[in-house]
Amino acid sequence: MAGNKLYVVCILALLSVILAGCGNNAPAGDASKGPVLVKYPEKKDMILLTDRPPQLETPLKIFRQDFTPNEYFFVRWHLSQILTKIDIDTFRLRIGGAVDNPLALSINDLKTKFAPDSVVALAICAGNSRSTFSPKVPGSQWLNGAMGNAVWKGVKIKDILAMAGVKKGALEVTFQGMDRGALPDVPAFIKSLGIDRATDGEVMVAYEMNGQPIPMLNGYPLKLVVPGWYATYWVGSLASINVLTDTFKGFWMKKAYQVPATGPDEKPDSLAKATVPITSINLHSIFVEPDTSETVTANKPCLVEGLAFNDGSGIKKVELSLDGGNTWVETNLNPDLGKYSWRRWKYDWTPKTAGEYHLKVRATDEKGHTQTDKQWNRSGYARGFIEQLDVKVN
Amino acid sequence: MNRKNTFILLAICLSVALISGCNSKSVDVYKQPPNTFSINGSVHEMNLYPDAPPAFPEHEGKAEFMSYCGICHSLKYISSQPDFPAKTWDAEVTKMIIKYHAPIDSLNAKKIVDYLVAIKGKK
Repeated sequence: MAGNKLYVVCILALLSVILAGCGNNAPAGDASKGPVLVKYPEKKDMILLTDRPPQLETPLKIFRQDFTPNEYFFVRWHLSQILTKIDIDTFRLRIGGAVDNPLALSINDLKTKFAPDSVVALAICAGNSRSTFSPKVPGSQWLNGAMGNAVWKGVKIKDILAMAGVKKGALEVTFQGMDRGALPDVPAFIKSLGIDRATDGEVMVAYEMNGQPIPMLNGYPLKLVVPGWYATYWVGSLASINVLTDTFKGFWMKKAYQVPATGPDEKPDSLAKATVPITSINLHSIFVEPDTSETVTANKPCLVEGLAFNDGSGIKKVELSLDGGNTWVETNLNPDLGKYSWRRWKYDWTPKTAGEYHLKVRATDEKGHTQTDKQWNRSGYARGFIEQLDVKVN
Repeated sequence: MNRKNTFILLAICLSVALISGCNSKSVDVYKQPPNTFSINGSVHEMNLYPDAPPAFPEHEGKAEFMSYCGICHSLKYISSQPDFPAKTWDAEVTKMIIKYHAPIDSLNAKKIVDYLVAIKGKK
């Protein structure tokens, strides 16, 4: 009954929105005019992908900063009813399932009854850069801005589950937020981790992001942080943790966010038969500057800069090509900010002559794997193919 | 008619209302009416943060497309997509029905696919 009540409330909210007046009928597919920038609560100018639920992309210029400010951090919800206000004094994070002592923890409990933990980690949407896949695939048409680097502070899941006492035979742990679908049958957003991953001492419940409370649109008051794994696991407005003695079979683990079992690469005319849930962040590197608004002039220095990242196994080198991939030079890596952070690379370039240049960037990880030119999958996940930046030198 | 069907009917009616007569200024996302409910014993509010709905071309199937697809998500989900072949649009609509349990019967599903192909089809 409580559930039905909620949906009625949501529909009434929809109705009030309609009555409040609904928009200026902008033409469909007006991408030619450039991205639409919007200001949402606690956010500055963000690129609007969708409004219900909100999907907001970080403008590329913001990536010139090592830590993505909270007001520019990308937003991605799956279900249309999201939290906008909460009574923090009565809120409790519930821990249940196969545990000896089910817990109901307040934010204050999390801050005072456990040792605080913090980590610098990149949150990146599995579908980041989807719009660059060819042939194009359906889904949110992100450029490179569905990611952000932040300092996350909170409590290790390991410590919380130790207090609850995990029962013998525990296999998985599920995490659910407070967002809800528009219809009762829309699958609830629940993600699961194997018990070993959940209790590895790295996965945490964050109550702070860059030294501030997490913005409502990024999952206030609590967000799961799974360093090195795609942000689909970073459940926002986290309210329930459940320990299971069997495998979780929910929609968001078994049907959504699937990649070929052999890796995030397949052919459009022969799709992989076996798929698995996406997990760790694929090796990738992007350009941050110069951007299209900048003029590059021959015989004048131009800083070429970008970011490289993977699942935390380390970036060994980042190479830049100024001639479309024929020759490569090694770039300078900025100091490492932490194994799960992105890594900034820089190169001082002075083009000798005017003309069109095709720049490419490729990263190599500590195991010696280097990015390649071609990759595709039906969902546009885990982009790792080499990025090209076309620069006109005057 | 059971409670669920009543609810779905209500949702469809409201979506139809949503697409008709929307010509005023864009919605201020800061001033949406709150709706209060309770999860885990705490009091929460949820809003929808809607923006201006995009305008879509007139073509057969538009009413079905707008009323059904708009129940669960903003129609910007469609206006922001590139053009796709008919089989991709068919797979998308099928996904919404099979995986997300969208209450769309096969007749309306076909109308919606045809509309999507008409406005965002790729030869």
